[in-house]
Amino acid sequence: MFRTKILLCYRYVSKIGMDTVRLGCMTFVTTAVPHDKCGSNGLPVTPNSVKVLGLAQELISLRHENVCRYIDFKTTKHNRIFAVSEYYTTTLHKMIKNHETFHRDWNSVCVNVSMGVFKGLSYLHEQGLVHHCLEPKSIYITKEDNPKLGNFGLHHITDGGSLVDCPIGNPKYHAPEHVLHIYSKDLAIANIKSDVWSSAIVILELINKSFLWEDKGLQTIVSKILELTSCQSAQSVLEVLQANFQKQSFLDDISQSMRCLLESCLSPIPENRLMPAEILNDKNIFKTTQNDNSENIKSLFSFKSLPAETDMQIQPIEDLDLQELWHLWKLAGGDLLSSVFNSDTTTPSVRMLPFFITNLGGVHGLQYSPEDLFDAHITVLPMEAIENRLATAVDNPDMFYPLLENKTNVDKEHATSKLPLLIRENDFEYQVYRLALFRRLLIGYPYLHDLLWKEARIDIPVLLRGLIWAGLLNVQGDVEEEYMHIDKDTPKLADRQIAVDVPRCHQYNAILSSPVAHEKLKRVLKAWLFSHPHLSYWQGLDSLCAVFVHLNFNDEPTAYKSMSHFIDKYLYNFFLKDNSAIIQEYLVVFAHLVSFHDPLLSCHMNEIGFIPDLYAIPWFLTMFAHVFPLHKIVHLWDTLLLGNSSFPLCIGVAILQQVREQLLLSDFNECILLFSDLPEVNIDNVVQKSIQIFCHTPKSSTFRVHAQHESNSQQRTMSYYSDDYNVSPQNELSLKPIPLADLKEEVCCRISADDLIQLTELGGIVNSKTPAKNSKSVKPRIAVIDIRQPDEFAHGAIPEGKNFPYSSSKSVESCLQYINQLKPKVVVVVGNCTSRFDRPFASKLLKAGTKGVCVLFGGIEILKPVGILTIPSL
Amino acid sequence: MAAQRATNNAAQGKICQFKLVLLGESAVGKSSLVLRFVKGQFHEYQESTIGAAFLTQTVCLQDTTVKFEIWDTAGQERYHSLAPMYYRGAQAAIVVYDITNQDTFARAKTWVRELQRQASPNIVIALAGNKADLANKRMVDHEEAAAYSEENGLLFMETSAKTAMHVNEIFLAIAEKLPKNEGGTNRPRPEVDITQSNPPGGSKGCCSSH
Repeated sequence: MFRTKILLCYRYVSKIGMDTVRLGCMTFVTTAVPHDKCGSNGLPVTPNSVKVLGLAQELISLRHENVCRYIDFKTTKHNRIFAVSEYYTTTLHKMIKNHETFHRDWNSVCVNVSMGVFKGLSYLHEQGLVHHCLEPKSIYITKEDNPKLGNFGLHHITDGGSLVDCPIGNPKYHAPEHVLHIYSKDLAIANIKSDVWSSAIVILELINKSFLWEDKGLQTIVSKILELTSCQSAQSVLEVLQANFQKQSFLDDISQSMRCLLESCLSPIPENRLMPAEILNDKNIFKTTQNDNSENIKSLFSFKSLPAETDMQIQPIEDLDLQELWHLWKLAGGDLLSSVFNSDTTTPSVRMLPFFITNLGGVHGLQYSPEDLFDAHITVLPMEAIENRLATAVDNPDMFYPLLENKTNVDKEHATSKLPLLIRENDFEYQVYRLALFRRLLIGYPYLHDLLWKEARIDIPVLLRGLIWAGLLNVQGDVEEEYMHIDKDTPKLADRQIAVDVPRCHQYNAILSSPVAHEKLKRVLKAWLFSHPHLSYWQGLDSLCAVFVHLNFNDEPTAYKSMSHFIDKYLYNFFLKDNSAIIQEYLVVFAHLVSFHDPLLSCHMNEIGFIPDLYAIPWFLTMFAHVFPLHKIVHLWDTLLLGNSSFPLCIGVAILQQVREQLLLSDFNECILLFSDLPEVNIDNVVQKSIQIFCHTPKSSTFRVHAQHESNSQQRTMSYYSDDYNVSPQNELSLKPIPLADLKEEVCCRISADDLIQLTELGGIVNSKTPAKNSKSVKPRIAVIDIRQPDEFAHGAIPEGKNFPYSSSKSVESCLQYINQLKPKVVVVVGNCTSRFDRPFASKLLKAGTKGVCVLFGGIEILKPVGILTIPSL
Repeated sequence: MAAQRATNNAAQGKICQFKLVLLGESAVGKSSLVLRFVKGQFHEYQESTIGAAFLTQTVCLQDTTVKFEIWDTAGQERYHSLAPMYYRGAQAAIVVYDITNQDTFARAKTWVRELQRQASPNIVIALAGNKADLANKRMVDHEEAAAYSEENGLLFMETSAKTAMHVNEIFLAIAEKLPKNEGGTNRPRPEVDITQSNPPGGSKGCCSSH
């Protein structure tokens, strides 16, 4: 279930204790690649830091009680990587070192820690990962004595160490076979059994309350580890190791179960070691079996309600998900780079000089710096700023615990919501409120679907955009299962095209330019193609897909499903093998819409032959994903998703209007050059303008035959601003499909009799739902221009109609005068369905710059059976 | 090394406008060639072209100024039906292939055949073997392509949009070869043929006019 997935994201929300959790950051440098080298496809070799960034994304989604969460990865210049993760001040190392201060039963501590370590390892193994960095320093102990594995991702994100110069991990804890592999530069090894060995060494140290080989150099340690391979059995390994502890305790002191545990882990032959899961299930080792699921399930439903007024101990920071905490940390002014570099990790540059250099070039006395050698040091990020800012939330619980069903609260808008989007996105208090609100809405999805729509209309918090979009696109059901069963591997004809398009799609974005992202993009595209066999791959689909993959990087199923729903709604049949009918109709309707809102521009562009076919195909085929950078696309689509399938047309008109002055002064070449290199477009303005345009367009005017119709869609496509005309029930007064050739003959928008009746309120006010109407509470000014002969007019006309006979030469001028006086929003030209003089007449009105011109579809004849025509008074 | 730009100097002699179209398999470097020629730039990750892009550039020969109106088309086969709209009425065409990929050369040959059959009879066709900087990955022989061009009366050069090798040269060679007397001196605008129904040879697709 999609819902379960959202819940899973918040599984550990309320598990963070304020005085224990911290954010920590580790940094390392990846191997530089030669600048001028090219890959097999002729493109430059991807920098290793970008590869790491791609590999690392997967770790962000890992969640387990015995595994530290990775929160974010950043890359900066010089191939440096920053890994932000959950951090605790107590490590197992500290605990062993200061064991005198612990007054607990050491034996139970040992059991507890061992169990936690193996649980964590077992989880990592399930995820297809190995740790390979296991040591007491990387095991954190929470306030509740819960061990958590840290640093586990290094092996994975460095592709087994191949992307960094230095070997990773502490050799002392490496299994013999692991040591051999490292020093033979064989990177292929990734074996959970080596981790099992490492954990046994850790546990042995824990039992002995001291460290192995503390005073030995690296060389001795390595040879000692390798010597262990000569042992015949795990027992003898254990005995040899035990003899190496300075402060010897007798093996007999170790409880039977612990001994059993160590022996099953320390076999010199990896095959003979048990798997972490086997160890956990071994009755001889852990006698108490725990049902660790019960707690998780409980936490799903234990959402904190608003604390009682007497309870003054609100600690909002505890209720934040770590991802949210990190996001807010940055908003509260946190600066990762300076926090890391201002701490004591960096060496002053004078100390990075060697003591002396021989005349043969030998360098002596150079200190190791983190630049050269792997250093697992974690810098703790300062939390004072965010704690202080969050403290204000205590005074205002509404902000942190918004009530969803509180009726009085419904229309109360946050004061900040009126400010520009950019300010809102960076406003700490506002984002705290929005995150809390949307978190609740998502947990209530799909039941709170309507409320989600309503709030999304104000804005969408960056952090939750992927899930919110999926909600707006009606993604439901077991998406994961569906995606899993789609064939994404069978070679297909489109593969070659996908393979050349993906490596150049939105590559300015670091994550999307990583090899992992390329694979993801290919998989999602192939999944979509497989599940839509009647559709095919068109260049441009990659750009579209990239938006969803980027937002749902760790969640391909949601990316896939969101994209599928998006295409069904906005790009229905656009990707047919032969899509000319669909695209052509779309472009004609677009041209009509331009003439409706900007007749002068439309006339100018028609005159110079600058037709939408030449510039608008990349716009609509990719819903602007091919023409704008990602940060603009997301803001555009935040609004697009709230509109119906005609909304993109309005965006197109809004873009034209933004450059209209330039277009009006330009000839064909200049116009097309302008769009070959799309000028800086202000997306906020486009968004605002397109909403206006949408609201001022009679909905029948954007009717398309090829849009998705109700019979084809399982669920009605939703729109905040109005229903989708294409899925509304049709009647004899609605627009009917006409051939494309006829549509092209039209000079302007068509309006259905239905819409006309509603606009003129001839059918009564009650069922009036036209968006144009909603813009003002009074009815919009509408001019009905009847161009038939006066005698025909006298036999029956629309009550509001004015007669300007087409045959009379002065009609157009007097009509223009009438329009100038009335200043209508919509001008409906009514003629006969046979003679079609309404076209040339409307065309003249357009040339004169009249806005809002449309013709009544079907002419006056369509209204005859309805009985609303009256004899006009003279 | 951007091409010499025309000055508004009347002394340059007459000005001729020519419509030039770029054709070829996708990702061979059509857009990159144009970008190098027009703006002197090169983007490693040039995004794919959807539909077509339009750019202009002017070059000066001894006594004439030649203004190219360049239509850079989409490479994917699916957009094929669009192509006639752009090459119809073109006085010059550059058919591009990728020297590291034999298939793109085969595709270039079919483009040449289509142009010979369906474009205007006097069209000047140039064949460009792009990505010449990747010579160590070469899959198409220089000789083979040169011989083919010889047979079919094409201009031929191996180019590299990345290093700018032969990019201006190929455009200049085309400019030299174009007949200057009928080069439509003051045509109001390039004619993208949008009136003719059913483009010959093109299967129905995205944007076949009408």
